[in-house]
Amino acid sequence: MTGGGLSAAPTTDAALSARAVAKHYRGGIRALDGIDLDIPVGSITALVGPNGAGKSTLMKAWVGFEPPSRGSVTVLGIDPFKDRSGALDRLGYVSQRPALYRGLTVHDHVALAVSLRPGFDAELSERRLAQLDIPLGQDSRTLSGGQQAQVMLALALGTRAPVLVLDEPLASLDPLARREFLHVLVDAVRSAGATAVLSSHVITDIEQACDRIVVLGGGRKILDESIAQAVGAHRVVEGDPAPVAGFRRVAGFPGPLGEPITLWRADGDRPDPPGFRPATLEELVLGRLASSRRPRTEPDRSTDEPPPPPPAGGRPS
Amino acid sequence: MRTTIRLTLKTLRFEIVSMTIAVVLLGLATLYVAWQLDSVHMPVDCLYSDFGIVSAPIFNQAHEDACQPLRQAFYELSNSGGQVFALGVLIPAVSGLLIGVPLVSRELESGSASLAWTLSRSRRRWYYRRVVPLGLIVLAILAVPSIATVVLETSKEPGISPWVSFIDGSLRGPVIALRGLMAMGIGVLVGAVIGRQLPTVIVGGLAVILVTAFVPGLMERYIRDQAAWMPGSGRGDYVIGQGFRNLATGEIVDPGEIYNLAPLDADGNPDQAWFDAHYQQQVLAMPGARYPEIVALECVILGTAAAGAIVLGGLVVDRRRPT
Repeated sequence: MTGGGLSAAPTTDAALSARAVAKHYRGGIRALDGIDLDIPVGSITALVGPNGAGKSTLMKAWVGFEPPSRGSVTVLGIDPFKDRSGALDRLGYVSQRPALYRGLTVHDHVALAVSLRPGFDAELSERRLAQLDIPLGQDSRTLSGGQQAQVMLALALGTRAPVLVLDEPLASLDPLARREFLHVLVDAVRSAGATAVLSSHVITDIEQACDRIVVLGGGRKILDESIAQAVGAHRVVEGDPAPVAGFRRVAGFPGPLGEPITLWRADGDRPDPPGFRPATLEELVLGRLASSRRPRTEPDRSTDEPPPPPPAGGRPS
Repeated sequence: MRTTIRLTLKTLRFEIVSMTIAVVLLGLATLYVAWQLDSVHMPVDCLYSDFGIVSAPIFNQAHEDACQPLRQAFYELSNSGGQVFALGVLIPAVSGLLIGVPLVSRELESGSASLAWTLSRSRRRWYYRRVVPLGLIVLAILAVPSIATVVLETSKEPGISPWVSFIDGSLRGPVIALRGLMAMGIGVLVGAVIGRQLPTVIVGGLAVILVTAFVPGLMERYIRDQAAWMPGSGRGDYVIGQGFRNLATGEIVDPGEIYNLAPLDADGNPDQAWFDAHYQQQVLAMPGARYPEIVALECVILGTAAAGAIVLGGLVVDRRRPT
């Protein structure tokens, strides 16, 4: 099979979806807590959040590795736990940790993929690898972390699947390798009109590569919006000023030097008050995560609530 | 399919090469001992059996003098043959286990299962395309000691075909290969459940020991059920016990009780004439001619255990998480 890109996705609104998905582990750990999410066809979506937010769990549910305790997931309308082969047919996956076979060469991996996956596009994979100067005859054990991630991506792209799920593929890569990886990904996905969702901690890189962002925190969805829209609607300001008309305070969070910063969301198209500036994606994510850590019912202490009294018998702080 | 087999063998090349070397050395050692036994040129009428000297009609001192040095050399070598038979149980089982263990558990441990399980539409197909060829390779490699032990048995027990003899019955022939396959199946199954290699070797090893101990017990029970009382036994028969048949009633009496039944003669000893008139000595045995049936049954049990473990392993692979 030859071709320059991935096969076009079937016509449905959501490439990946999750409906009221919850995942509970033994010991009462809630990895996911009622997630509702749609990843639109043709988008490149970043799934971000702190460790334990449930990103990998959700991705593994889409791949059919981790059945939800409650709710359902679909890949182009197919439930991977009811029709695993149907879902996998439409999906390429790059796992969080390098999953290459020790002792096999890069070419062996491509041959393995050809033998396992009918229609696997070996030419596409090998062309991608050649562009990156990764020798096909090289033993996987001698590849750098970046090269291993590129091989994994080339294998996922070779499936010509309309949906790609990438679970923290950038985690072990240096900045240059991250750029290269994302460049290959975006190029491949855009040229085929495919859909990709990738989880990452490195927010600065994904801002360039992705068009949507989903923020997860504590197993819940905190933000799900296009990156342009989200960045355009949020402002930050040093300190914690009094409420401003037309702006909603989202949360306060510490800046790089510990200085207090607050994130605000503009309700409409209003001029920025003095001191306000557009939020970076990183600040947006940090602010949103900070907002998720506080229960919604708790009043905003910085504006409404007096300081709590010291505990009885204790030293006032 | 050919690519899958080639890559499976490549990922397991250390285990397969090690196993092949160990098994070929075992086969060569077995054949060497057989050759040494043949070199003694032991006459059949010099052999001992469970019931005395085989085929020696009457005691003859000259014959005994001629036999003695041959016996000494032959039985010393025969002891070496016993040690080789013991290795013939150990090495194939260990080899089978060590080949079976990494097949799934290493993939789970290293994370490559997640790559394979997303590239392949069917985990079962992925699993069987790896495990079936490997099982056939294990059987092919273990054919070497299976054949060599039959050759050794022919040399160790001259004058009787190993196919009509229960002597060393579970230590030779196809049982060896099937035992290795059973160990491989257990290694694959336990590896699929545990997902880590070292614990799989420990747990799988214990399971193989249990099955290896259980099957001969099962076979002995079957042989006991199938055995019949007969006036005497031949070399190669599976003898379970002795007794005395009451010629009038057909009832079998235990040797310990028979002397209580016999009247005493004038000297106070059991009356031999009365005894000969009323009882006949019997053995409870299975004829050696039924050895092929028994060994085939043992092979079926081991093969079923192997197949069962492999099928269960497939079910586990189909359902489990890749990490």
